[in-house]
Amino acid sequence: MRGIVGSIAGLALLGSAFVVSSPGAQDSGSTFARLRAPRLAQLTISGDVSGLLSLAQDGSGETAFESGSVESASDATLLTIDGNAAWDLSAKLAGIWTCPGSYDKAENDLRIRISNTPTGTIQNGADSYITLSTTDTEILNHTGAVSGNEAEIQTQVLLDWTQDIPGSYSITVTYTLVVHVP
Amino acid sequence: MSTKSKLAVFAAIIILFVGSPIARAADEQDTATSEVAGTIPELCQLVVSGVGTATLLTLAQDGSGESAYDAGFVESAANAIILTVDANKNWQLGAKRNSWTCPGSYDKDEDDLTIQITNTPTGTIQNSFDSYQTLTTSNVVMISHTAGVSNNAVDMQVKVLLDWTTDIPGAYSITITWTMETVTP
Repeated sequence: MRGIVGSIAGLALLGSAFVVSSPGAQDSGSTFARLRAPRLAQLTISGDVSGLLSLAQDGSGETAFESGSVESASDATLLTIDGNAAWDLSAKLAGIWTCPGSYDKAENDLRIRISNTPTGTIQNGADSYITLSTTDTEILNHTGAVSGNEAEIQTQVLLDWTQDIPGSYSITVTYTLVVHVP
Repeated sequence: MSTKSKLAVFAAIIILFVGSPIARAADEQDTATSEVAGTIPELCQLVVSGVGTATLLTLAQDGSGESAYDAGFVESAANAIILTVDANKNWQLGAKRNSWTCPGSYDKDEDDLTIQITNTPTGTIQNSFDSYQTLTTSNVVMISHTAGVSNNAVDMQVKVLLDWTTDIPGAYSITITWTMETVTP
């Protein structure tokens, strides 16, 4: 596509140059259109895991701590991907945990995975739970364009009776879609 | 076309194909964020296991019965009751009892029931429960700790005093209620 667009533009320029250098009086005009679509990427997110750690006493709380983790629904976060060329989808931590008091919860206690089979190739073992860092980790890519491609993200937070004291916790995950040259 | 013109056209083509920002489309990216959050409440958990003491007073004639009365008591295994506790902050574990159910109109003394912690679990023993203590109908703290704990096993031993002259034959029962709770220092 890039070659075709470049050729069209180039031929048009050649045409313009020829007109400029032609002898004789003429009343002529020339018009050309540059047919160049830019690379386009659109990432839409839906779903809500902002209450994942709001556990209940005498119920889900004790169960989660006893099992060592709390887990979202498999499709709790839905990423819808549109791109008009090859693309990569990556994830990173926007920062560290916000914790109660002076407690510093390990960032590796947050894990995500792609729980369905979207178009593309899973990267870095992200079809199983992986930890994230503050730099992008590629989780899915594809060599072609895609429309309405849904990647379901499941989130897990590890819990420890001896460390995870009562209080409010939060951490943010940033998902990035990049459309690029194959 | 002059050589100069040809060069100008060639240069224009090169610019279009190689150097022009129009010819080289930039990568495009889009981002979205997702917050993982929530409020973890104070949580604790108590699981009771072990062989139990429901038949501790089921004594045998011509054997354990007479021996127990001669000794003045019957005693469970050291870990007959295992209290496994979990908590995500400071906690305490206590016990209380109700009253004996006795045969006929007999009213066995509640202080004939004593319990003790026999192992060394995480926490600080309170009210001397590392030796036999009586209980009341109000919760008495046996052990406490200043932080969360996981799978902390507290072994409990139970002893019932027996007296040839007062403890008549029949069915006896008394219930101990164990309470695990998170506490604010």
